[in-house]
Amino acid sequence: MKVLRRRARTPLPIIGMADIAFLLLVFIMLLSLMSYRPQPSVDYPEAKSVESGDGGSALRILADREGTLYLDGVPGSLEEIEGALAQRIATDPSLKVELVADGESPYRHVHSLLRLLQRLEHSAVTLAARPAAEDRE
Amino acid sequence: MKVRRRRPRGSVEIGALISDLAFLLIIFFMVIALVTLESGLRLALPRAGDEAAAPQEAVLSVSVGPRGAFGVAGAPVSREELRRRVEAFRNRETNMVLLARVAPEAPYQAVVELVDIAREQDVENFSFSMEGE
Repeated sequence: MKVLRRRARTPLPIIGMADIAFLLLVFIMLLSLMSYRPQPSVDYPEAKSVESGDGGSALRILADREGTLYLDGVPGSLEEIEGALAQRIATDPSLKVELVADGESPYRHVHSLLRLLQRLEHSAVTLAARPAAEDRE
Repeated sequence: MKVRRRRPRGSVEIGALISDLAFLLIIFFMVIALVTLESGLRLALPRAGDEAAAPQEAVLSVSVGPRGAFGVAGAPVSREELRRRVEAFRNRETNMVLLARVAPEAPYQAVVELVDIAREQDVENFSFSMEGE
Protein backbone atom coordinates (compact mmCIF):
# COMPACT_ATOMS: atom_id res chain seq x y z
CA MET A 1 0.00 0.00 0.00
CA LYS A 2 1.20 3.42 -0.90
CA VAL A 3 1.34 5.75 2.00
CA LEU A 4 1.24 9.44 1.30
CA ARG A 5 3.53 11.32 3.51
CA ARG A 6 2.78 14.90 4.20
CA ARG A 7 5.82 17.01 3.99
CA ALA A 8 6.59 18.87 7.11
CA ARG A 9 5.87 22.57 6.61
CA THR A 10 8.90 24.72 7.04
CA PRO A 11 8.05 27.82 9.01
CA LEU A 12 8.37 31.13 7.16
CA PRO A 13 11.41 33.01 8.43
CA ILE A 14 9.74 36.23 9.50
CA ILE A 15 12.80 37.49 11.31
CA GLY A 16 14.75 36.97 8.11
CA MET A 17 12.24 39.16 6.26
CA ALA A 18 12.88 42.00 8.68
CA ASP A 19 16.59 41.64 8.01
CA ILE A 20 15.96 41.86 4.26
CA ALA A 21 13.81 44.96 4.74
CA PHE A 22 16.53 46.59 6.79
CA LEU A 23 19.23 45.70 4.27
CA LEU A 24 17.07 47.05 1.45
CA LEU A 25 16.71 50.37 3.22
CA VAL A 26 20.44 50.58 3.87
CA PHE A 27 21.13 49.69 0.23
CA ILE A 28 18.85 52.43 -1.11
CA MET A 29 20.28 54.99 1.29
CA LEU A 30 23.84 54.11 0.23
CA LEU A 31 22.81 54.32 -3.40
CA SER A 32 21.50 57.85 -2.88
CA LEU A 33 24.70 58.78 -1.05
CA MET A 34 26.76 57.62 -4.03
CA SER A 35 25.11 60.20 -6.25
CA TYR A 36 25.75 62.91 -3.66
CA ARG A 37 28.43 65.36 -4.68
CA PRO A 38 29.82 67.75 -2.11
CA GLN A 39 29.52 71.33 -3.29
CA PRO A 40 30.85 74.57 -1.90
CA SER A 41 28.46 76.21 0.48
CA VAL A 42 26.46 78.89 -1.25
CA ASP A 43 24.29 81.50 0.39
CA TYR A 44 21.45 81.65 -2.14
CA PRO A 45 20.12 85.07 -3.11
CA GLU A 46 16.59 85.83 -1.96
CA ALA A 47 13.62 86.64 -4.19
CA LYS A 48 9.87 87.04 -3.75
CA SER A 49 8.63 85.51 -7.00
CA VAL A 50 10.52 82.25 -6.65
CA GLU A 51 9.04 79.39 -8.66
CA SER A 52 9.53 75.78 -7.68
CA GLY A 53 10.95 73.43 -10.25
CA ASP A 54 8.85 70.66 -11.75
CA GLY A 55 11.15 68.02 -10.28
CA GLY A 56 12.85 67.22 -13.58
CA SER A 57 16.59 67.05 -13.77
CA ALA A 58 18.41 70.30 -14.43
CA LEU A 59 22.04 70.96 -15.16
CA ARG A 60 23.53 72.96 -12.32
CA ILE A 61 26.25 75.48 -13.00
CA LEU A 62 27.61 76.93 -9.80
CA ALA A 63 29.87 79.92 -9.25
CA ASP A 64 31.24 80.35 -5.76
CA ARG A 65 32.38 83.60 -4.15
CA GLU A 66 35.90 83.22 -5.50
CA GLY A 67 34.64 82.68 -9.03
CA THR A 68 35.39 78.95 -9.23
CA LEU A 69 32.92 77.32 -11.59
CA TYR A 70 31.34 73.90 -11.14
CA LEU A 71 29.32 71.94 -13.65
CA ASP A 72 27.11 69.47 -11.82
CA GLY A 73 29.50 69.54 -8.89
CA VAL A 74 32.68 69.09 -10.93
CA PRO A 75 35.01 72.11 -10.96
CA GLY A 76 36.19 73.32 -14.34
CA SER A 77 37.29 76.33 -16.34
CA LEU A 78 34.86 78.36 -18.42
CA GLU A 79 36.17 76.68 -21.59
CA GLU A 80 35.74 73.20 -20.13
CA ILE A 81 32.23 74.03 -19.02
CA GLU A 82 31.41 75.47 -22.44
CA GLY A 83 32.56 72.27 -24.14
CA ALA A 84 30.63 70.00 -21.79
CA LEU A 85 27.55 72.19 -21.94
CA ALA A 86 27.59 72.33 -25.75
CA GLN A 87 27.64 68.53 -25.84
CA ARG A 88 24.77 68.24 -23.40
CA ILE A 89 22.68 70.81 -25.24
CA ALA A 90 23.36 69.07 -28.57
CA THR A 91 21.98 65.81 -27.18
CA ASP A 92 19.10 67.47 -25.33
CA PRO A 93 18.10 70.92 -26.65
CA SER A 94 15.36 71.24 -24.00
CA LEU A 95 17.92 70.86 -21.23
CA LYS A 96 17.14 72.93 -18.16
CA VAL A 97 20.05 74.96 -16.88
CA GLU A 98 20.17 76.32 -13.35
CA LEU A 99 22.65 79.02 -12.40
CA VAL A 100 23.66 78.94 -8.78
CA ALA A 101 25.74 81.70 -7.25
CA ASP A 102 26.26 83.20 -3.85
CA GLY A 103 24.21 86.33 -3.21
CA GLU A 104 27.36 88.15 -2.11
CA SER A 105 29.51 87.11 -5.05
CA PRO A 106 30.34 89.80 -7.63
CA TYR A 107 28.15 89.83 -10.72
CA ARG A 108 31.10 89.34 -13.09
CA HIS A 109 31.27 85.65 -12.11
CA VAL A 110 27.68 85.13 -13.21
CA HIS A 111 27.92 87.35 -16.27
CA SER A 112 30.48 85.10 -17.94
CA LEU A 113 28.04 82.21 -17.53
CA LEU A 114 25.12 84.20 -18.94
CA ARG A 115 27.23 85.16 -21.96
CA LEU A 116 28.26 81.54 -22.36
CA LEU A 117 24.63 80.42 -22.47
CA GLN A 118 23.85 83.13 -25.01
CA ARG A 119 26.75 82.00 -27.20
CA LEU A 120 25.35 78.49 -27.11
CA GLU A 121 21.91 79.93 -27.95
CA HIS A 122 20.41 78.32 -24.89
CA SER A 123 17.81 80.73 -23.57
CA ALA A 124 15.96 78.80 -20.86
CA VAL A 125 17.71 79.42 -17.58
CA THR A 126 16.77 79.48 -13.92
CA LEU A 127 18.54 81.76 -11.49
CA ALA A 128 18.55 79.70 -8.30
CA ALA A 129 17.11 81.63 -5.38
CA ARG A 130 15.33 80.99 -2.14
CA PRO A 131 12.09 82.59 -1.02
CA ALA A 132 12.58 85.97 0.64
CA ALA A 133 12.55 85.92 4.44
CA GLU A 134 9.09 87.52 4.80
CA ASP A 135 7.64 84.93 2.35
CA ARG A 136 9.00 82.01 4.33
CA GLU A 137 7.36 83.09 7.56
CA MET B 1 -1.01 19.50 33.69
CA LYS B 2 0.98 22.01 31.76
CA VAL B 3 -0.51 22.83 28.40
CA ARG B 4 1.76 24.21 25.80
CA ARG B 5 0.27 26.78 23.58
CA ARG B 6 1.61 27.06 20.12
CA ARG B 7 1.99 30.55 18.90
CA PRO B 8 -0.05 31.14 15.77
CA ARG B 9 2.21 31.38 12.81
CA GLY B 10 1.03 34.37 10.98
CA SER B 11 1.22 35.41 7.40
CA VAL B 12 -0.35 38.61 8.76
CA GLU B 13 2.98 39.62 10.22
CA ILE B 14 4.58 39.46 6.79
CA GLY B 15 1.90 41.77 5.43
CA ALA B 16 2.47 44.22 8.25
CA LEU B 17 6.19 44.06 7.65
CA ILE B 18 5.87 44.71 3.95
CA SER B 19 3.49 47.62 4.49
CA ASP B 20 5.86 49.11 7.08
CA LEU B 21 8.69 48.83 4.60
CA ALA B 22 6.64 50.37 1.81
CA PHE B 23 5.66 53.24 4.10
CA LEU B 24 9.27 53.89 5.08
CA LEU B 25 10.36 53.81 1.46
CA ILE B 26 7.66 56.28 0.46
CA ILE B 27 8.74 58.69 3.22
CA PHE B 28 12.38 58.28 2.22
CA PHE B 29 11.73 59.07 -1.44
CA MET B 30 9.47 62.00 -0.57
CA VAL B 31 12.21 63.54 1.55
CA ILE B 32 14.79 62.98 -1.19
CA ALA B 33 12.46 64.52 -3.79
CA LEU B 34 11.90 67.60 -1.62
CA VAL B 35 15.62 68.06 -1.10
CA THR B 36 16.39 67.91 -4.83
CA LEU B 37 13.51 70.18 -5.91
CA GLU B 38 14.99 73.27 -7.52
CA SER B 39 13.55 76.71 -7.09
CA GLY B 40 14.41 80.06 -8.55
CA LEU B 41 13.60 82.68 -11.13
CA ARG B 42 13.00 81.33 -14.60
CA LEU B 43 13.87 83.59 -17.47
CA ALA B 44 14.49 83.47 -21.18
CA LEU B 45 17.78 84.96 -22.25
CA PRO B 46 17.91 86.77 -25.59
CA ARG B 47 19.81 84.94 -28.28
CA ALA B 48 22.99 86.60 -29.52
CA GLY B 49 22.00 89.47 -31.79
CA ASP B 50 18.38 89.67 -30.56
CA GLU B 51 19.24 92.50 -28.16
CA ALA B 52 19.89 94.94 -30.99
CA ALA B 53 16.63 93.94 -32.67
CA ALA B 54 14.42 95.27 -29.85
CA PRO B 55 12.98 98.75 -30.53
CA GLN B 56 14.55 101.41 -28.29
CA GLU B 57 11.20 102.62 -26.94
CA ALA B 58 10.50 99.11 -25.59
CA VAL B 59 13.75 98.95 -23.62
CA LEU B 60 13.92 100.03 -19.98
CA SER B 61 17.53 100.38 -18.97
CA VAL B 62 18.30 99.91 -15.28
CA SER B 63 21.79 100.22 -13.85
CA VAL B 64 23.05 98.30 -10.84
CA GLY B 65 25.95 99.96 -9.06
CA PRO B 66 28.91 98.28 -7.36
CA ARG B 67 27.09 98.44 -4.02
CA GLY B 68 23.82 97.15 -5.44
CA ALA B 69 22.07 100.51 -5.83
CA PHE B 70 19.63 100.84 -8.73
CA GLY B 71 19.50 103.69 -11.22
CA VAL B 72 17.19 104.64 -14.07
CA ALA B 73 18.27 107.17 -16.72
CA GLY B 74 21.34 108.03 -14.67
CA ALA B 75 19.41 108.88 -11.50
CA PRO B 76 19.43 106.64 -8.42
CA VAL B 77 16.10 105.09 -7.49
CA SER B 78 14.89 103.17 -4.46
CA ARG B 79 13.50 99.67 -4.80
CA GLU B 80 9.93 100.94 -4.41
CA GLU B 81 10.47 103.64 -7.00
CA LEU B 82 12.01 101.09 -9.36
CA ARG B 83 8.99 98.83 -8.87
CA ARG B 84 6.68 101.72 -9.81
CA ARG B 85 8.80 102.62 -12.85
CA VAL B 86 8.84 99.04 -14.12
CA GLU B 87 5.09 98.74 -13.58
CA ALA B 88 4.40 102.00 -15.46
CA PHE B 89 6.71 100.97 -18.30
CA ARG B 90 5.13 97.53 -18.48
CA ASN B 91 1.66 99.10 -18.74
CA ARG B 92 2.86 101.22 -21.64
CA GLU B 93 4.96 98.58 -23.42
CA THR B 94 3.51 95.11 -22.92
CA ASN B 95 6.45 93.52 -24.73
CA MET B 96 9.11 95.48 -22.88
CA VAL B 97 12.72 94.44 -22.49
CA LEU B 98 14.53 95.09 -19.24
CA LEU B 99 18.16 95.88 -19.92
CA ALA B 100 20.30 95.51 -16.82
CA ARG B 101 23.61 97.37 -16.91
CA VAL B 102 25.46 95.88 -14.02
CA ALA B 103 28.75 96.91 -12.44
CA PRO B 104 31.23 94.00 -12.35
CA GLU B 105 31.51 94.21 -8.57
CA ALA B 106 27.76 94.51 -7.95
CA PRO B 107 26.51 91.82 -5.56
CA TYR B 108 24.61 89.09 -7.40
CA GLN B 109 21.78 89.52 -4.88
CA ALA B 110 21.02 92.96 -6.37
CA VAL B 111 20.72 91.50 -9.87
CA VAL B 112 18.37 88.80 -8.60
CA GLU B 113 16.33 91.52 -6.87
CA LEU B 114 16.06 93.42 -10.14
CA VAL B 115 14.90 90.31 -11.99
CA ASP B 116 12.50 89.62 -9.13
CA ILE B 117 10.94 93.10 -9.34
CA ALA B 118 10.52 92.68 -13.10
CA ARG B 119 9.10 89.15 -12.80
CA GLU B 120 6.51 90.50 -10.35
CA GLN B 121 5.31 92.75 -13.19
CA ASP B 122 5.32 89.81 -15.64
CA VAL B 123 8.30 91.11 -17.58
CA GLU B 124 9.63 88.24 -19.67
CA ASN B 125 12.41 89.73 -21.76
CA PHE B 126 15.73 90.40 -20.10
CA SER B 127 19.09 91.48 -21.32
CA PHE B 128 22.24 91.75 -19.23
CA SER B 129 25.30 93.80 -19.92
CA MET B 130 28.29 94.46 -17.73
CA GLU B 131 29.84 97.89 -17.42
CA GLY B 132 33.20 98.09 -19.17
CA GLU B 133 32.47 95.02 -21.29
